[in-house]
Amino acid sequence: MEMLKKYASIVMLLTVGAVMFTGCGGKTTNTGSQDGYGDGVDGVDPYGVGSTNLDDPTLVDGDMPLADIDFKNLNPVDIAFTPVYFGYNTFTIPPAEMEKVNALADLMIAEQSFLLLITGHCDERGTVEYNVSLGEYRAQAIRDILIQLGVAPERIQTLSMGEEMPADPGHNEAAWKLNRRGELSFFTR
Amino acid sequence: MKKIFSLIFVYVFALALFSNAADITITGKADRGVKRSISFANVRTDASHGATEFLKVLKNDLALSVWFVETAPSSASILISGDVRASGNVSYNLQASWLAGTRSQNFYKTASLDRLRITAHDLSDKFTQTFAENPGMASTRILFIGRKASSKNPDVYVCDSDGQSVMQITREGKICLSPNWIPNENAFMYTSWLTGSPVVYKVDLNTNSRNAISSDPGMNQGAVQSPNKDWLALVLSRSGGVDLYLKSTKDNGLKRLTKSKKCNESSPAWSPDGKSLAFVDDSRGAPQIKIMTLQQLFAEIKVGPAVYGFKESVAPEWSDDGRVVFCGKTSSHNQYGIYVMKPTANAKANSPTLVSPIDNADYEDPSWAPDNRHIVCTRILNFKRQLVVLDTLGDPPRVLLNLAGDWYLPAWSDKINR
Repeated sequence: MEMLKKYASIVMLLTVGAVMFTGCGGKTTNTGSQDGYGDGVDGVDPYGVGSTNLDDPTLVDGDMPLADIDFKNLNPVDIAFTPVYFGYNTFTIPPAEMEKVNALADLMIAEQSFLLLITGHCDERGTVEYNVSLGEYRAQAIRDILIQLGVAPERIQTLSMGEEMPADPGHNEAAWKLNRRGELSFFTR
Repeated sequence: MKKIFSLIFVYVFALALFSNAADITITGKADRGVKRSISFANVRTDASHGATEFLKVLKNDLALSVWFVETAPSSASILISGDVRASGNVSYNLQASWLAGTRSQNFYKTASLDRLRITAHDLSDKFTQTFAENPGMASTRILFIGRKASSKNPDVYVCDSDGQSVMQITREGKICLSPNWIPNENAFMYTSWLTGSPVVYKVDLNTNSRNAISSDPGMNQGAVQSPNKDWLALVLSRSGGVDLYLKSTKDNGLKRLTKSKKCNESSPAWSPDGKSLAFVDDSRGAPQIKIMTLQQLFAEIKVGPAVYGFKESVAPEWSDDGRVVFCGKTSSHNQYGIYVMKPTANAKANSPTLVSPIDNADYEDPSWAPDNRHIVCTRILNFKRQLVVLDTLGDPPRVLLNLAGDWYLPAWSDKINR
């Protein structure tokens, strides 16, 4: 429990800084693939290119398939871990939020019985359907870094709520900044 | 000067000669459609409330179609006469005379009183097809998401194309989104967080049954059925990225269409021939519509709205006649507007046309009416959402519902049997 309190304190401090420094107006260009189509370029059928997972032919190199965790039948752990906040119209984790994600990874590695649900949210700007996808990607961006830091993928589940569950119902920059977030919930079996 | 007057005289004379004299061309916008003048002065009723209601619904439908304007018999190009009764059943026996009496046709039907509105809608569509030679939209319905002023969570609703007969379909107490009709069925798909995470369900409105049709781990969203009903196009996150997939309706087999680890796909829309998909991705930073041919997976036709300088383009939907409606932002118009374009290989010949008003509102989530003329969309002003119907030929927009609350994500049906 001491360890949990320590993590919670670190996260609280990081969050204050992060909310202050997270960009909110301009768009951020997503990093990564050039055209978004990975290996399957030039009109080539992707199923004929590269290695294929025989258990699931829709999976390709580099995929980290989602776990199928039924959280309804798990026990929630009472930890108030502050959300990871994002800039406008992007799922890139801002540098100021990275320490928070690092602390989250440390917690998940220290507490091996924990399972994590990451819920992505968006502000109300943009279309409803696009924001559902964006919320999912925000959750997955946090998941990807946790996996890189050594957390087993099968312990993490993602969920998007799009713009439907704002933390702050206001219609201004201050509210939108709080609403672009990845919320973190912990469970044990 | 005389020459100019002579030319104008010849032009006006030719117009008078070759046009139907009693039809009215609404001026003010060059491409606005010709309205057919129609008179019901010689229609008799049995003075029942039902008969009066039947005629009211019929006339309103014809007005909403914007192909007709009701006039006095002396100036009408289409004269309707006959009887409407609504005692016990609703029945009509009407005669139409047009082209100066050179053409005539009888229209008659009997139906139960509980189908009064449906029967009137059906007759309106017959008139539209007969006199305007265009498909009607009165018999169609519109699905949408609604959040009543007193509700915390949204639900799926449906109404007739005139905004009446509003019915709440779901009562889940959870988030639900993306209702889309299944072609030629009285059924639809939508995404619901009923079990906690987004699952795609099919609802049959004839049997009021609901079945989960995609419940993979993570996100299941935006499912649309192909015109031949063999495939669903939908967005899944099962691979650890947000990607477009096809799901076979025969064996549930999956085909993955994109594998974009670092970009976000959404909003698939089928072309009417089922050979292409329009969708949205943000691989270049801002969300933009792309079009993929399915014979050649991963091939992008380079004629999306981004070619025309749109800062963002989202929410595509294809009309039956091959045009794509979408909402977009340009450098000169920073609010979402509704645009229509015809995607072809020749980009310059098909620049998008703005069909929504330029005001302080955002216009989003467009959906075609089956008449290929009207579009229903969400109008957002001061963060309140309402549904409006736009006319691509220039008649003024109309508000679909006059109900308190938030109403959005509309989807217009084809002509459905019910």
